[in-house]
Amino acid sequence: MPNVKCPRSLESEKGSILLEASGFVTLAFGLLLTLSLNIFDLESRQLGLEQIARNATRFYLLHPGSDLLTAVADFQALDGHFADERVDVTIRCQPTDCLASGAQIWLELKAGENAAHAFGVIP
Amino acid sequence: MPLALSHEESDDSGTGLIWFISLLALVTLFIGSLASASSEYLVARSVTDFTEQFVLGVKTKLLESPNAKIEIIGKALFAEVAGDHHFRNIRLKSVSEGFDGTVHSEVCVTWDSPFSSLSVSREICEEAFAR
Repeated sequence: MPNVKCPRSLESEKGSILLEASGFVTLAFGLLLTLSLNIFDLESRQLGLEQIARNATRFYLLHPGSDLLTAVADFQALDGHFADERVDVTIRCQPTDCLASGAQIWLELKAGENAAHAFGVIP
Repeated sequence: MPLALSHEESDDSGTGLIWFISLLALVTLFIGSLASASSEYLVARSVTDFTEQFVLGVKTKLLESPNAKIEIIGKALFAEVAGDHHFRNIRLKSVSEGFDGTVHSEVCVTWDSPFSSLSVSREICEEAFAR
């Protein structure tokens, strides 16, 4: 095995606490900033999707004959996060006739990691 | 002079690790608090939405059958819609109708911190009105 000799400067454990602490603080707060921005983005997306579900359901309850999918698409177009993103829409009614007075309607939206629910009773 | 230098070096030794651990703990704590607060806020907003939708549903059902008791209508509707949401320990605290026909309801859930190691949970109650 070859005997590798490092320069004395590399073997030394002497360092500058100020430099190391500054480096760590920069890394730590960079990570903190990135994670904070990700959390706020996730929160903003979740609130946006819930708003789309809520508004589309209320629009449908006010205009029961209208197309709920079109209402979702219209409110989606107004949202900055989901305007160009695919949103999966699931509609359920109980009883199955979504136009019957007194029927309950459930709307579920999914976009990536976010999901939102809304429900209402047809007047 | 060599003696004085060695004394200065020994003063600095060990402080780096303390700094490192302290800052790491601070950053972890801050991120944990931020994520927990964000999660609690989102759950509270979802409960507010749920309560508003529920109270509107109760009002709609009441308009259809004005002679029915609001407690019966409220509990029946709540039983149908509560299971569809993923809230923990969701319960209907109250549902009532005022003299002017305003329906009032209060719904409570239990919020758990997303970090299981913290084991923090809190009661979140939201109320809504519909007329």
